[in-house]
Amino acid sequence: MKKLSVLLLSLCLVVLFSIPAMAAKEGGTLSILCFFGYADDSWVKPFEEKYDCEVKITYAGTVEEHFTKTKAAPGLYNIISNDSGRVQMYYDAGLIQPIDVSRLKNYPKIGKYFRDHPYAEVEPGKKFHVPICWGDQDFIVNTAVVGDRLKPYLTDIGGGRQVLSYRVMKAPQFKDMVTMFDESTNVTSMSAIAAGITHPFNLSEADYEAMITELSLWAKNCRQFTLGFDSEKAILTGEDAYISITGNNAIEANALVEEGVGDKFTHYLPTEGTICWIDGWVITKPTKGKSLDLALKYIDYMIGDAGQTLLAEKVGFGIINPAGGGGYTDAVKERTWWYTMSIDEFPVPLYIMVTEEDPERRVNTWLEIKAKLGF
Amino acid sequence: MKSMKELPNNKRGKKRGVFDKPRSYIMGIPIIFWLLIIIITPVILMLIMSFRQKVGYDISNILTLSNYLEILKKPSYVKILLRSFRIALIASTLAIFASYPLAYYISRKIRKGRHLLFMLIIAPLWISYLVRIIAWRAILGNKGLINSTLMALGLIKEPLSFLLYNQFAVAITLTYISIPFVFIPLYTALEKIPVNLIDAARDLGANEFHTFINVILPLCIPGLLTGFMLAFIISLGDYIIPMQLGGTGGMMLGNIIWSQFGFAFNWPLGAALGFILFSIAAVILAITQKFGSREGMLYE
Repeated sequence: MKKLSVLLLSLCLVVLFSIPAMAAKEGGTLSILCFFGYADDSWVKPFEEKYDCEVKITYAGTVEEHFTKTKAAPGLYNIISNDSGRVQMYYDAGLIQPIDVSRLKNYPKIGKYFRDHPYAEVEPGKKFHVPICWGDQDFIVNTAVVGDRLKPYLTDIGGGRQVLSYRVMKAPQFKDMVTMFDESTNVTSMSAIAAGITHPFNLSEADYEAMITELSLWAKNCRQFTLGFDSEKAILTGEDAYISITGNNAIEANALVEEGVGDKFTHYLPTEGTICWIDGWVITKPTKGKSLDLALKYIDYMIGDAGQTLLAEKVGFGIINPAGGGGYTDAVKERTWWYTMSIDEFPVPLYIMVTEEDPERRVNTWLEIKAKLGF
Repeated sequence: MKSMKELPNNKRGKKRGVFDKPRSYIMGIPIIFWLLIIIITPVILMLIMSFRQKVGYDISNILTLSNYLEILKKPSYVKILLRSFRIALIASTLAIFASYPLAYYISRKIRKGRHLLFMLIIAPLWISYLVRIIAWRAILGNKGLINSTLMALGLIKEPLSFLLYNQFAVAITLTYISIPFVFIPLYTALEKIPVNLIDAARDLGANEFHTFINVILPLCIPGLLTGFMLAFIISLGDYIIPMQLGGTGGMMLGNIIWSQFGFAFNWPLGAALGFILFSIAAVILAITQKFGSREGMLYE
């Protein structure tokens, strides 16, 4: 009996203490699905306090994972971090709603290039995507190990800067020394650029053949395919591979410097050009009421001066509001220096990502290439 | 000691069916209900999904065999299935060879600290799956434990790159992951063998080797098969280890299934591949049940 009383009392206490935590916040709830880094505590906590709301965060590692999660339960999320190449896909799947940019007081602060670029124009006169930052795919090389072997693949572009050719990805001398991100859109588009295709997001049948030939050679030369920031960093610092194509360039630059191994590595842009993603927010169709208000406030905060400064500091990618430029770390300024420049002045050809001609075919093409390896 | 066949009928006891008494029948309902919810329903849903088809960004309700036909049309998928089979077979065989001596010595030879050793062998199960995999990266990598030690000893000048990011690394890690699952049934089977049987074998002149071959090994076959089956099924469906340690040539069927669900948004094709994997596991389970069961009772 005594045991039962103690058990009941404990249960009552647990319930009692859980009530404040379970109680809905006055300001409502904002549910975010995003890449790691886009919902940092340094701005999420003040946001929650300012609007007396709760921010629920779910992370996803790839654009495909974002889409799959949203498609499976669109009502579960209010805003989703999304790159320029996926806006059409979300729109076609009926997952997103137009964003009333007149309710974003910081919207005019976004650079003209990003406001006017037609990358996300899926319905005339309407905005479905608000950009927050941009980035490209390029190389990180362990120059301390590779050394002079890299020379034949480098080109000077002035100002003491060099760019690196994609040829390095298929060079027999670098067999099992290279890696790349295991994501179909990135690898198919970049290998298309390397194959001389100038429209990497709209491949014809002939383009597909050229791209597959090129990508198969890259894949055969790779030691491992990376799965995101952590696996990429582990492979590079563990010296299991020395050359990596990466989209996490700025984050890696900060992390490698923090770890004290920054000097061993050099970042290079690809000579032939590269793809550029413009990350931003989309609002899901079912979002309304307080959640919609919070969604707009969160987006507005992130494009404002303070939000952009924090983003430059924490993430390091190119920002879309120049007022936030003071946030860049020295590692980013020195190593991924192109993010401190205007996107108009990017030193190599830059292809802004738009939805590919057939995203599913790209996924399956990449899967087929991988499936043929190791036999 | 008498075998069951030698016992008179009145000593065998009346064999009762599970549902002979209404009370047993009622008590079985929650179990059946539970099994239905957590095992049978998901499998049925997966089976139905495998006959549906992806149309644009939606999944059509029309049932078709197209996903299964697509799998058959792609030789690379069949090759990957065979590779998965081979790696799972190697890993589960290695797990048996690694676990059997451990289980044998702990259950039969060690008197003091037996439970501590048992716990030490199953302790990895308390650690996150991913952490255990990453640990192997730290062991097998170019700057990992093995390479660093060999280089420090002056045995090699360059790191041995064949240790990581290939099928070898996948097989080794799957073996390590499977060891506790093989060890537990083996230990149980070995521990249950009556000492009198071994004494009897010795009395009849059998040496240690012959006692092992003729008495111990046959009696622990059910445990051996259960362990093998668990290791094989765990290895066959894994996708995290090949993804983390398999390099470019370590892809297994689990990775294709994961890609279909996570990247291509082709749930029906992923479900069809998953159902094929499930069917293989079910066949293996049935075979092990058939050959691994030992009926009868031992009376002292």
